[in-house]
Amino acid sequence: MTSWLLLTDVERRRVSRVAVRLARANPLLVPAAIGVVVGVMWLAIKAGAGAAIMAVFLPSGLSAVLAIILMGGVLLGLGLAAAAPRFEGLDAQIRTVPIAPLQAYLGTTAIPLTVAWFIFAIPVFDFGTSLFRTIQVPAPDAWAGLLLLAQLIACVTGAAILEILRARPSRRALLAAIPLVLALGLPAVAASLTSAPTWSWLAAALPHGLGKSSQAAVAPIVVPSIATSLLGVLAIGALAAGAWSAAATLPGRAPAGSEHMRSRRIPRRLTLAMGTWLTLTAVRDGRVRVVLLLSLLSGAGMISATAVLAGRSAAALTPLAAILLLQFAAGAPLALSSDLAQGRWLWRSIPPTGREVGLSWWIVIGTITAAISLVVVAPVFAVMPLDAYPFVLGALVMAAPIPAAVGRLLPFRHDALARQLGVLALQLVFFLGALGIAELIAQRFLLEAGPVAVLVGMLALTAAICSTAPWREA
Amino acid sequence: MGAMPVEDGSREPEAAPLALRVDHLSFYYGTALAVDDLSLTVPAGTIAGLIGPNGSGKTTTLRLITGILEGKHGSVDIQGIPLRDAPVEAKRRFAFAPDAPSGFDHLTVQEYLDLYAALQSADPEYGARASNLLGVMDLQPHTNRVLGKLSHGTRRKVAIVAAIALVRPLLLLDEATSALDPESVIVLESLLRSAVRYGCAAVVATQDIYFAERTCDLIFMLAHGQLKAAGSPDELRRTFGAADLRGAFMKATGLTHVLEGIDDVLAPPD
Repeated sequence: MTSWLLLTDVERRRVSRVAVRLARANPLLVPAAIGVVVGVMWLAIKAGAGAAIMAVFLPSGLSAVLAIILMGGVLLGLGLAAAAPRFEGLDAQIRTVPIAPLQAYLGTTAIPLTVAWFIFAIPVFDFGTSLFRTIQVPAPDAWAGLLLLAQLIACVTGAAILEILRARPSRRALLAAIPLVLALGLPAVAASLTSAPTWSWLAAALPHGLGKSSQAAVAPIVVPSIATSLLGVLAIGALAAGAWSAAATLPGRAPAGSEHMRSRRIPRRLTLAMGTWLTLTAVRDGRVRVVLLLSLLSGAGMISATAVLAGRSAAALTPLAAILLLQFAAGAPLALSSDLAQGRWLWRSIPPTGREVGLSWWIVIGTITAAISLVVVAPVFAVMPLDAYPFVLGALVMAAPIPAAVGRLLPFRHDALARQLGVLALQLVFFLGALGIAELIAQRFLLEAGPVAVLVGMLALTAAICSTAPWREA
Repeated sequence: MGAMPVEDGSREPEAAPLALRVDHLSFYYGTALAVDDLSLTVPAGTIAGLIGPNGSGKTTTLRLITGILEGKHGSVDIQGIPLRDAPVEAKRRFAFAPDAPSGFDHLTVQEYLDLYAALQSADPEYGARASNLLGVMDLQPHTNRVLGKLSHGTRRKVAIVAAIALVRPLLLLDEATSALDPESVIVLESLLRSAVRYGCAAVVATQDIYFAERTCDLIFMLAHGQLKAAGSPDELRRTFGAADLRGAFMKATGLTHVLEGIDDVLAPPD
């Protein structure tokens, strides 16, 4: 077996061992994982039809949907490449084996990343099929496949961007960036030459004819030749893949960060001591800072894109954007849960009981999540209709304790891609579950009291899980 | 009392009160037996050493004593307080430094000591004692360095300082001398002696037989999770007819037979 396949196999074994161990430690994760798969598939099919309706009724709506999918692909590539274990993450002895950098990158990053992308590909394909059937283009399945390919290219582009960003500034990095710039610039140049509207370059290769002007109602759907579109997508894909493989062997940055810090005072009370520790960690940990920065950037991008594309209709979409942002905002507190898991030896050997430690953890993480969420979703309030405020604020309060529960059930790991994806999926299940229950109760019982009851129930359940969830992380 | 090449390391009650009693303790990792019906006692004012090969159950034993792992079989009493029934009271009576302290990478040494004091509800003089110990262990220049940037050895010294400064009746050190420089090992020996003079007891798991021979009043030899022998270094030497503790250890663990054929291991095949 070649070296890179061996490294991939090592990753596969590691992931399967972790999955089995986690399933044994927290049986709740098994139905949660099944729920994620079924729920995401169902949502993808439903969202396809919903997006098609939005595309028909909103000016530039189809462009918006496609742009969001492709932008999502770029973000996914960025995130996956950042989370991939990488050769540097392996044991020091293994790192001394004679393997070419490209092979090491293929084995530890590129192949696991592509496999991870397939997890996202299934709902995207569902979504595309549903979308293209609804808008009645010829050969909808083929177009869905093309959308999938475009998303993979966006994902590779995102990974290449990250590799170039984290490489040491050099002539090689500059050269590696050339195909990437071409891949990004080609559709934009083509769009400007054909007088296409803003953002449409992202979706230029796909079948739509909407959005010629922001005032236009519904433009007729123009379906280009699928062969032409495929060739265009492949050309861009080749450039993106070239950039990615060229960037893979770039020398990385030296470990950054100062060794010396001004020591801060840690209070003596348990909750305050934990709060200070986690706040200092959030401020000082570069990876948590990156998560926060990505949250803010993607939030700002999502809101401005929605506003540019849909004008006043953006107001209707902002609660949805806010909820998605809350998911992003939870990334930092989730990342902090790994610090709790690493210090397990201390938490279990100190006099405060697991219940006391769990409760303090829950309070601290809830507060941190709420604070970050407020900052992240604050721009949403500017474009949101007043009657949506209670909904978003309610969602925010509800979202606050969830990372604590998820972090306790499945501690986040910076260096384990599968673990990160699992944590985020579990987070989504908790969050959507809470919203779903709230909606059900609100429909069937008292409109006002229902959400409150659910909120209290969620808090109680989360507290119970936090205080009794075993510290069984091996 | 002579050394006991036996399965029970409990000693008869003596004048000194017991700092630690472990009674018929067993623990499984899945189906693998890690600690097998282990019993031992450590009187107050004693430095006890747990020695044994890798995988002999030393770390697991310390984790069971500290409550990091919960054993279903057997019991652990700290100064007569049962860990299972009164964990908070029992945990107030010991301090522990692990083999590989992890977590808290973004705190400075000083912040970590503050956090540790808060979590342990340490007395008001803890800070002064910790500061003194930082000086003794040559850690003062590192006070404002973040833990994640320290070498493994320095990080271990910080964990040892944090634990010793608590001055609890029982001090538990896992792999006491691992990654420490020779100066720090010498200082640690003196610190353990000093702690004993203040009435503390210490249990140190170590791979360093010479350290154990020099420092420990009582040795527990473990292999395959079982107690193979117990006694003072002198008693063990006499019992096994060995010139030093190394010889006694080799006989107790069966290593002598392995060494007999060592020259053939790297020989080319016929």
